[in-house]
Amino acid sequence: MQRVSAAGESLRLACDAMGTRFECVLFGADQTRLRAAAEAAFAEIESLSARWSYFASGSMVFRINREAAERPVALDAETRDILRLALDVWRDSRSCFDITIAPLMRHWGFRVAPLPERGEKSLLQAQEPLSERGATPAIWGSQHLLLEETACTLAFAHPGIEIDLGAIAKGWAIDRAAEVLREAGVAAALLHGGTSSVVAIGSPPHSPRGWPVRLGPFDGSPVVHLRDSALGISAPHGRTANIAGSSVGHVIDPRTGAPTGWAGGSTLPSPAREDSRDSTFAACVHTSAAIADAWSTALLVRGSARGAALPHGLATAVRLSDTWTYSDSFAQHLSPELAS
Amino acid sequence: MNDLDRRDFLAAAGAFAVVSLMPSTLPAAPVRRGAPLNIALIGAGRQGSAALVELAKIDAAKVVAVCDTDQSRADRAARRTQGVAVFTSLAEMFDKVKEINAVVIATPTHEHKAPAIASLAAGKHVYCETPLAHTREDVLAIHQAAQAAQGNKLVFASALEGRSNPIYKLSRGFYRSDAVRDLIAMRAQSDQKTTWRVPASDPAREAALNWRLDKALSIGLPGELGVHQFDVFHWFKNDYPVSVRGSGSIRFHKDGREIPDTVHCDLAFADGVRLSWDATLANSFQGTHEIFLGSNAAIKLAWTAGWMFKEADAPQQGWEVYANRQQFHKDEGITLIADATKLASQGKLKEGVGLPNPPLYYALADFVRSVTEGQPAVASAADGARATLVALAAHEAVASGKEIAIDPAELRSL
Repeated sequence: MQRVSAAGESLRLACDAMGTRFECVLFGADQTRLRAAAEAAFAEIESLSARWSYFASGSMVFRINREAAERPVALDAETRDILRLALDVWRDSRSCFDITIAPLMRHWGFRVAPLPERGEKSLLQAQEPLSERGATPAIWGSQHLLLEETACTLAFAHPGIEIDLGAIAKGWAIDRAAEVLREAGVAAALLHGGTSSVVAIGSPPHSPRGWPVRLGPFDGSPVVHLRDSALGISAPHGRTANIAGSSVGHVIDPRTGAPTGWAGGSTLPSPAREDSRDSTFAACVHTSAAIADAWSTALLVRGSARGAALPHGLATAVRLSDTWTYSDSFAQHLSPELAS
Repeated sequence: MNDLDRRDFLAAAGAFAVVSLMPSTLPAAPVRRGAPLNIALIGAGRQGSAALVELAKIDAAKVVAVCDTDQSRADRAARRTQGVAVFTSLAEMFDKVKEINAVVIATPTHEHKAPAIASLAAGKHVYCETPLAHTREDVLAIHQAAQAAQGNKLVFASALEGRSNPIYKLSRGFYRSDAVRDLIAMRAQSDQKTTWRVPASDPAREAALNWRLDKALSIGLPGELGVHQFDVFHWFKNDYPVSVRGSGSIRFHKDGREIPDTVHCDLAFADGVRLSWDATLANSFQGTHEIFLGSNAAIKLAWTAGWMFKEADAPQQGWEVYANRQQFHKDEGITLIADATKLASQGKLKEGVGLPNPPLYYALADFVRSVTEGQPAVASAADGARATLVALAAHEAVASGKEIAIDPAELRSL
C-alpha cells in the first residue's frame, strides 16, 4: 500500500452533517491526494447522516419510527450493526445509555414538538411530572426494541417507541470516515464531529506521542494524546432547556426519564444531579469512536465507571465536583504530570 | 494513460466484457405476482452506493447481488443492504444468481456499454446511469441494444432523474400550461466545491478510479453534470438545441489535471431561445439549478425544491391563494409543492416543501414500477441517448472552442 507521508503541509476541511460540524486536519506531502481522501471521508459521513437522520422523512430511522410498531422493518446490515452496538451498551451500562429517549427529549424541551408527519400526539404532556406516570417507563426503554439479527429486522414492542441514533451515530460515522482515510493511505489525520467524537490516525509531525486534545473548556482541563485511537466526550452543557427557572443540560438519564442535572419530578435518584453545573464531564478512549461515543454518554449518566461492564480496551475519565477520576488505561493518554 | 494504467483498465473492463459476447437476447424473466423485483447493482462506487440506499426504501424492490471489479468496494456496498451476494465478475453473477430480474448500472461512463448490452442479452431489465456512454458510437450501440430488447419486453431506463422528480413534473405542468407565457431565456448551473478526485492507495487503481479526470475517457463537466440538466430543458420544451458553443479552463484545481474545472456553454434552440449553462468545481454558491425565464413568470428548479416567481402584471391563478411563499432578497417565490392541493386540504402544506427523498429515489421507484407494471420507462433509452449526444456536443465545444452543430431531426429519429 502506498502511504501518504505524514510530513508536509496540513490541510483542513469541514462539512455540515448530523446537525453539527465535522472537521478534519490531515498532514501529508501530497495535498491533492489528501483533499480527495478527505472529500471521500466526508461523503461517507453525509451518506450516513442522510440514512440515520431522526428528522428527515426519507431516512431509514424515520421509516423505522413510522412503521416498526406495526411490523418488523427490514434493515440494512450496517443499521443492524449500529443497533446491536447500541443495545450492547444499553445492557452493559445498565440502561444508562438508551437510543429510545427521543420522546423524553421533546418532553423536557430539548426538541421541538412531535413530528407532524406522523400525526402523533405528544406522548408526555408537557407539564406532567414523570413520577405520576408510575415507576415503569412505557414510552422509552431499549427493552422495547425487538432486533432480529438473523432476519435483519427491527420491531417495536408497542406504539410510541422511537429510536434516535444521535448519541452514537457521530462516532460510527467518523469510524467509517477514518476507514476511508486509511484506505486512501492517509498516515496522519484528526477527524472530529461536533468536538465530541474524535478519531486520530497516526500522529502529527510535531507531536510523535499523538494528537493533543484538550478535554473541555475549563482552565487546566487535561490534555490527552491520541494516536490511532478514538475519543468520545459527553457533557450536559451545550444544548440546554429552562426548566422551573433553571438551565438544565440535555443529557437524559434513561433510568429516570429526567435530565441528569435536574433535581425534581423523577422517581429515581440521578448520580450526576448533585453536580448539575457545567463541570460534569465524561470521556472515553477506545479504538472505536462509536463505542467511545456511546460509553461517554453512559458514564456521564452513571457518574462513575465503577460497576459497569465496560468493553475491552475502553479507557475512562469522569469529572464530578471538579474532580477527575481516570482509569489506569486512560492515564496513559494523559500528559505525564497529570497521569501521576 | 500509461501502459500500466491502460492494462489495469482493460483488465477491469474485461470482467464486464465477458458476458457482452453472449450472442442472443433472452426474454425477460417473469416477476412473480406480489414478489419484489430482484435487482443486481453493477458498479459499487459512490453513485452505486447511493442507489443501494434508495432501493432499500422501495418495498417492491430487493437487491440480491452487487458486482464491482474492486472487491473491497463491493464488500463495503454490501454493508448498505442485507443478504446480498458479492461478485467481481458479471458473468459469474448472472451464472450463480438466477433470480436476478433487473440491474442498476452505476459503473464509470465509459464502462456502461458492456454491462448494459450483456444484461439485456441475459434477459435483465436495465436502469443505466447517464450519460449513457463517453462516445457517440457507444451511445448508439446501447440505444440499439435497448431497442432490440423491447421485443423481449425488457425495460431500459435512462437515469434522467428530472423526469421522475415530483417537483419537476409539477413544474413542467405549469410550464406547459403557459404559466411563464413567452419563454425569454433559460439558465442553469451546476456549481460545487470538490476535487472530483477519488482516492486510492494503489496508483494504478487511483488512475482507473479517476476516469473523470482522464482526457481520453472523460466527457468533462458538460457530460457528467450537464447531461441531466440539458434533459430537463429538452423535456420541458420538447425540443433540442441546434448548436452549442463552449469554453472552459482550470481556475482552481491546478493539480495537473487537463479537464477544465470551470466551464460555460451556450446552447441555441431553433426558436431563438438560448440556454446559458455554467459549471464549476471551485465554488458551491447556489449549487445546481435550472431557470426558465418567461414574460409572465420565472421558474427556478433546484432538484429538491422549486419556485415560481411571478411578474407583477401576471394574471392571478386560483391555486396561488393557498401557496407557500419564500422570500429571496427582493423576490418572492411561490414554493412548488407536489400534491399541494391535497396537503393544503389537510393543513399540511408547509410539510410538503422540499422533497423528502433524493431525486435518485424517484427515478429508481419509477424504474421498478415500469418493470413490475409492464409500463414504458419514464426516461427511455432514446431519451438518454439524446441527452448524452447533446452533452457530448457540449463537451466537444468546450474542448475545441468551436461552435458545434446539433441536428435535432437526427435526435428525434432515435
